[in-house]
Amino acid sequence: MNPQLETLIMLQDLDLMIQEVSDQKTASQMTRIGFELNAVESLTAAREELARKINPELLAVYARLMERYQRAIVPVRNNVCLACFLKQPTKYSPTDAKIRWCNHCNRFLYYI
Amino acid sequence: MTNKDLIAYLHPDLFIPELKAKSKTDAISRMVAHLVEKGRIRDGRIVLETLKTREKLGSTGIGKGVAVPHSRSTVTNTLTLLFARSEEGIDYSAIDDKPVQLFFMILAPHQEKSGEYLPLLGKLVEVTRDANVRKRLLKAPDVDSIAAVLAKAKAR
Repeated sequence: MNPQLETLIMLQDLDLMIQEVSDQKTASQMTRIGFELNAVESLTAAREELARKINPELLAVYARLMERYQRAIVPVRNNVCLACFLKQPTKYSPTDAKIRWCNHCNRFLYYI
Repeated sequence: MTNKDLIAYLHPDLFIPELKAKSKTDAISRMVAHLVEKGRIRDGRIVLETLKTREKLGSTGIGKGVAVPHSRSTVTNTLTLLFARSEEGIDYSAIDDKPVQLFFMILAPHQEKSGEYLPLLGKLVEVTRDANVRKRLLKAPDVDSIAAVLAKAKAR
């Protein structure tokens, strides 16, 4: 996999984790279950470190997509983007070294 | 979530009867490697990074020899449960500092239609509060026996 895409996915997972633990309802459910949720700021520090590894242009695209869709990287199965459910070119493959975008919704694609 | 719903997430491929690991990171890493080996995820490095970051919020070693490492991730499209055991116990920096013997790793997609991620976490924590259940889970030889233990577990 393209190393920049790999880092972008780590960043998205982290961004969505930060969103989840910052949501009071989810955080209180987690705490009720029995999980400690301390040091949310440590996640922000980890985020900054990850973001530094990403090409600034890609990072800007990621930020725009996150703002628009709340998820910038979406899974693809059987060549179908699982966000907009439209077919992708068959020449795209899970082992692609290139970063691919959905031809319809423009989000980054991850072949699961 | 009912015990029957919980049992539906067990799978013979996702059971490690004797997890060999020296530390928390090693344990998580071996469970992630198992998910890759069984074709449940393609990129272990991403999940490993996400699960390690999750531990920064507080240990998922919830005490009494139980750990529930968990996270949502872009790399999965299905709610997945892996069960692993260590008879000897692994130093996991659990909240009670006791070694962990029972591990339930949960991976969930970011958008999950069933909405069962949190209920599954809750159910696992609930059933493993019972010392008898924990003892029997440690001895159960296969997934069918684990399912039988969980089927009889009572909410505490």
